[in-house]
Amino acid sequence: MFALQFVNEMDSMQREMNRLFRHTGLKGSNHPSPAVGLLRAEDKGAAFVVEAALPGLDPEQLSIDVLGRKLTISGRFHDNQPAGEDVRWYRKERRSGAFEQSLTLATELDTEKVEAEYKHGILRIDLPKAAAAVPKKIAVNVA
Amino acid sequence: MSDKEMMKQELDSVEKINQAKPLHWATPAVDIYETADELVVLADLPGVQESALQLEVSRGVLTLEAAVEAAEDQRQYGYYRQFQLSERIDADAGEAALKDGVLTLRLPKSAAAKPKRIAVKTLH
Repeated sequence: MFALQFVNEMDSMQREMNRLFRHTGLKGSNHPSPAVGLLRAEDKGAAFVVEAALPGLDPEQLSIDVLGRKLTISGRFHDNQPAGEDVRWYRKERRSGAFEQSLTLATELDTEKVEAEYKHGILRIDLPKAAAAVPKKIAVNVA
Repeated sequence: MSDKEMMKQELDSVEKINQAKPLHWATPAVDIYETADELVVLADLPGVQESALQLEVSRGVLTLEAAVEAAEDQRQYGYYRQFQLSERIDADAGEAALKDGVLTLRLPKSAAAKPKRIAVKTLH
């Protein structure tokens, strides 16, 4: 019954128009992006920086494993299942349950010095390279 | 200045404008459900701080807008999504919380929209 609908997505055309009027010259996608997963992995010379968007993660179930060159992030999203029987769903786009993602980096890592931070739903991991993998400048002796 | 040079200058100036607004808008994933008393909206907004989140209800339209504070060398981006709410939602009494990149918005139903139990008398 339409009269019982408590929420409706704005018509996508209108939404797009509103967006165009508010911010001219912008790019945007009309489809919900499951904003979950790897954002970037960057080589900072002496270390790699890996960032992943993981909103609503249960920090106690988050684990980060480094083996050789391979980084594995696994964990579980908070379950948001509402209690009660008379619950009516309109949208269910967010991820739930367990996840695991692996990434193989270009060099060996100093596994002792890996640091991770979880803030505003973004996980940032600093992975220093193993000493042997950091490039060294070699001075040339001129005779 | 030749036509070609003028064209190039024009293009360069356009490029500068584009570079000044590198904002990319994404549509956040949401969960929306209704219970007997309220409508609950959960939205994934990783990287968004409380100060950068704007929630607005105007003429029954809920607008969710947030910018992500990006590092200097990163592309700036934001989230934007709108929903039409029923008149039977009491948006003024809504409550919002942002935790670990997830927005939880609770919008109570107006009194008239809540289910009422009607006692049935048995007549003998």
